[in-house]
Amino acid sequence: MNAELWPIVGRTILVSGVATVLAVLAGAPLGYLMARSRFRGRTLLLALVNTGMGLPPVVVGLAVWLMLARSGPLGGLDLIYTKAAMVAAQFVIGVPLVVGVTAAAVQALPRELPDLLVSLGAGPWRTMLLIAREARLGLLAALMAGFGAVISEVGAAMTVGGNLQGSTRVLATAIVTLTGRGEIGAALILGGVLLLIAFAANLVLTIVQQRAEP
Amino acid sequence: MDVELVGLRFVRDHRLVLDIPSATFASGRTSAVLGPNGAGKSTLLRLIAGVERPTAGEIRIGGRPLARPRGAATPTALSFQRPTFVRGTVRHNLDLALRLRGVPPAERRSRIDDVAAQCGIAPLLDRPARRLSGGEAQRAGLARALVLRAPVTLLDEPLSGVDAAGRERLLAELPGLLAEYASTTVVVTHQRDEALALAGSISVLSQGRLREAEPPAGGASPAGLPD
Repeated sequence: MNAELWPIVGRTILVSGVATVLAVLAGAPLGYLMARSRFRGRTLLLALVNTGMGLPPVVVGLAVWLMLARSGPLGGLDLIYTKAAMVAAQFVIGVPLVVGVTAAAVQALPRELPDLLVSLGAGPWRTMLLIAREARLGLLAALMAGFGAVISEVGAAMTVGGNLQGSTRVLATAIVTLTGRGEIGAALILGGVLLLIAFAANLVLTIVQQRAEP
Repeated sequence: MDVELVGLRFVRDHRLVLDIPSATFASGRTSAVLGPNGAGKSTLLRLIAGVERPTAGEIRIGGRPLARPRGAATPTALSFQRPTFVRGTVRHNLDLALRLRGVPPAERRSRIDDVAAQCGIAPLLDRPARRLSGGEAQRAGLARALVLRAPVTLLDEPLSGVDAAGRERLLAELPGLLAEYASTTVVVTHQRDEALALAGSISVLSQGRLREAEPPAGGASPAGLPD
């Protein structure tokens, strides 16, 4: 187990880190647009996003599996049971969280702020960047929520990654395997490592967040 | 620069908020638009500032159709009824306004110091803008609009949120400040004494329609002004 620990830790951070970064890159602008736009069905969409914030990972895993399986529409990409498939599934889990938290953070800003920036002559991109700066505490919260959700989930990683030793086994799936084998001590150690990674990431982000306070 | 409204209509939530077939705010003068709350005064300024787009019609500034505000080419400066600020100090907020208009750093600093002294906010420059009192915030918001020295300055209820004593002072100072920093100015208010004190011409906005009132002469109340 010891020899395998570090590769598993590295893989866990890589898969969940990439998924989180991609979820923030896609989800933060979407959350901004959701908060700023007025269109028919917006409330329904927000309700869907908020529901998506609690998506059962195993259901997401199943949906992504159906897409990526050999017989699925994206089967030709040959991604099933790879780290890329795990990133894809965790991305789907993370996006609604990032969208929801970002939209809430942007909506919490003074209502006239975007209008002020437009009146001062800021174009759409500049306005978005300045709003992001104003909502940075919320955006960091979105990052923390996203990373926390994807690094700890097991259902999607197991379903689309397959928990293959030396290839797609991550901390969460390894814990399930060890527990099934009755290796409770080893499972507890991995559980501790997983908590430690989640804590370390959140500690760094919280320090950044608190420094960002005006 | 003249501000011309041509066939201007603005509809919000299926309600006709503004319907102004034709109106002109003359170049280099201060025009007041007087009207009750909900008459569409703020919407009118937001349209001229390019924050909102008209449903129909056109706004021309200096003869040119108004485009979306963009950087140094933005012809207007808007002082909001409830001033909003980004995080940071008052100086940072004024600096951001000038930066968005493409003013170089050294000039920004001297212009901020100058307008702050004139508007009486020099002691507030290093305070967090979001923690100012109502009157302080109003002055800081006004200074942010004036520092831009825009061809068209738009003031939305410039004395709202200011206590009685402060209101008297600011009302006395405003004509001098506008003469110094503003050219064409449109000020909207629901207070007739403000309109009379600040503007050379007054029009009345009621239920989305604008009509001219007689210009004030010899301190007498112009005809057609609501009490």
